[in-house]
Amino acid sequence: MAAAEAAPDYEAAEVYTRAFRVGALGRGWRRHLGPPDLSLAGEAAADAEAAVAAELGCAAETAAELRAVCSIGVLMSSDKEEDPDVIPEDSSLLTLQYVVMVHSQHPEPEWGGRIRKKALEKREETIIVDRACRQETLAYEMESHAIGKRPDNPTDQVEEGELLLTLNIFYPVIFQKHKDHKPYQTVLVLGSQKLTELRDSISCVSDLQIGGEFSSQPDQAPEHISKIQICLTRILDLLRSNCYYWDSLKKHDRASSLLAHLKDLYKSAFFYFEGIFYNDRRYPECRDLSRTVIEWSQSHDRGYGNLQSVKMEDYTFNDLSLKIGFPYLFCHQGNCEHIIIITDIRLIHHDDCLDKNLYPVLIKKHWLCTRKCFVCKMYTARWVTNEDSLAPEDPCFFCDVCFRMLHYDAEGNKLGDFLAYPYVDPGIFN
Amino acid sequence: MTEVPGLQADCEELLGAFREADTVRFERFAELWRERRFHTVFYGRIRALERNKLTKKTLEVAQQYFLPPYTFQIRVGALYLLYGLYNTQLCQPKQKIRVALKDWPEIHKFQQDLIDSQHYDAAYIFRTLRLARAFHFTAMPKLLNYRTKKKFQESECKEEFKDPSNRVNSLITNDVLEELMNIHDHYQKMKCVISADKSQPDKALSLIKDDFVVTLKDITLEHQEWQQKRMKLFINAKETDEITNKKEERTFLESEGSERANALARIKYRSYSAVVEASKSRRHRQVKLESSESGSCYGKSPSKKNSRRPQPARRRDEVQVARETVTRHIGMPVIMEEDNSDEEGVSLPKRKRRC
Repeated sequence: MAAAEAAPDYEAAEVYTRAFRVGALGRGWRRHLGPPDLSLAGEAAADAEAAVAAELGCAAETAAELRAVCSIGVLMSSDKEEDPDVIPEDSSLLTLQYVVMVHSQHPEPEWGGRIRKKALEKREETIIVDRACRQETLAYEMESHAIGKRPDNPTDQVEEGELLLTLNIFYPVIFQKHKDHKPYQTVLVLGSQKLTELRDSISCVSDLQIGGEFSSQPDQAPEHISKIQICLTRILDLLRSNCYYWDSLKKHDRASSLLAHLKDLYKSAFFYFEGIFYNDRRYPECRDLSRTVIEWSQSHDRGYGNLQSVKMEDYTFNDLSLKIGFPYLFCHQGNCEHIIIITDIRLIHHDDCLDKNLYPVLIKKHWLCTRKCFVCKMYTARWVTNEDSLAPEDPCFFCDVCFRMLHYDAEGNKLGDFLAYPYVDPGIFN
Repeated sequence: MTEVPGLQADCEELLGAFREADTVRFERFAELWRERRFHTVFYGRIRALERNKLTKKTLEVAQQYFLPPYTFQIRVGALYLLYGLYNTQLCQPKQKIRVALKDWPEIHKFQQDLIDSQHYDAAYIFRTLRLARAFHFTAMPKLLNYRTKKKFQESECKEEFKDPSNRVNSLITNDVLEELMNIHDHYQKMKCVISADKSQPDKALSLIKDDFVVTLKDITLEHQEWQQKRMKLFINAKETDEITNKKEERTFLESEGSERANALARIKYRSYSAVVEASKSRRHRQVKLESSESGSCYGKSPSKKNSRRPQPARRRDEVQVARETVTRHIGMPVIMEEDNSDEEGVSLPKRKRRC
């Protein structure tokens, strides 16, 4: 064991840390803290003066005095009931003056001359109804739905001293507008969980893509399967977004096997952390996708050191060496790459979700607008055509009904020249 | 997370007022808090999502004052501030205070200091926060998202809040000096024992300066003096922008002379009497010796940020020149030994080799 392992610290100031063993962080904290800090039970009851006196080394009367002097009531105003939504008129706090400026209800604020109007003020003047839009409601729900959850079965409870990791998983760049600020999902995962559990929870639209050109036989094979898959995905994701049902559904056997089906197509995947490729080798169909990279690196002295390949299912997050704030990689489908950044690692807390089965928990997701059919502008696009003589633009997107109506006659014969591909919109996961 | 405008200024104002009050009692802090009705800092935000973000940001801003390099009093003030903010926040469940593993030993030491110096109210409050599970025990203080492009606003922490960085003092501590003294004495005794004349060591054995420990102590003290002087003048320069160039020079030259004399006298007094550096927890209660230097810091009202005051160009130049003058005169004290050693080197070859 030797000397205590050093606590994680910055390698590049304020940007990312140096690499450290995740499990070591847990040990480091558990060494410093006592049972009351690590406990996941509710807040400790106000304890007797004797306990206070013993710990602080003071007299019992002093302890009683302390309780009175340091109570919270001392910091609150004792007068009338206050409404937190109303900003006091005469406040000396600069923070509140800025708030008033931003949410100004006065058409001519008193200090309007000194502080320039912001766009938000304009918005306040013209807004009719001030309530949360559905994206904000969803975002808040996602962030808080798992808070405080407890398992039905006590053996499923997260243990004291467990580590909680927060990861951002970025979508592969699809739209130009996302180039600078990539959309991402945020996932919470436990230190004791295997990498495969995270891998299974990542839903990416590329898992559902169907290859092949089907203009001559639009009814043929894969489309049926893809229809079912898409349907299933939509149902499950509708349920997923209604977080209350999702959590209980996840525990249900049928639902989890449904989930498993969706990953059937190409099972290979790997994570890359600190020079090691963690490959998914649970099924015989899985291939070692990282082999190419490793061979390339070893063929000449390219300066990448010794890259290794190991099995994903053999490792938990506690076993890994990681840097916080540093980009890593998740690759699946051969070439669909997601950047992963670990943004935080901390000890589990009483207020967190303590049901092991609910992890990994999705707490944030980027809202992607679905691409609508060019004709009806109502339904989500399911076909995309190229070199289409009947379409006004290339590529052009259609929903199933409009696609058939435009491109085929009543007997099902192909009209005009075009290439058609089934299309799965990234936004179906909304 | 974007900044919350005005928040840092409000926190600094409250902490500044607490510092001026020159106490570490919670009662006094609570008075200042109530005066400002600080709990209303969370008001005005309506919806939960934004409220969560705001509260996290507020706790983050307050938390930075809780750690070194801030002075003891500011850190206690920050502890009280965190206690107040944590308990008056409107979020349900409450947002927590993040503590990184690398900072924990410092915090633990701070808590011990509080208990040892019988600041029961501060220790009680820390204990209460801990029992209330107000902390998240994390790897790093902030969430890291690889934002390399974002321009970092170097958080300008007020100089007055910080302990002057005393790396020299942290290296040459009392313990070290005492140990050196002991070893030195022991060494002298050993030399006597093996010499012909038992009362003093042989000339041939004198390879080091006899008084080097005392000299080392003197140098350390002088450094400390210099630092505090510099700090004081830095604050003076910030606040008084009406002093002309020449006047500043003249007054400073004069004061420098007398300052030196005083400093030397003080050093001699200190070498033979009181402890060089009291524990940090007592620093704010230091009797005369320190207060004449640093007490003035406590007395001055925190100056507003310079950027806010519109300064005519001429004035600014004056201040700048004054500042330059100031820094020029507070050059590091020259260590005289070097000259001596040369002389000695010529006359007494045996003394060339030194420790």
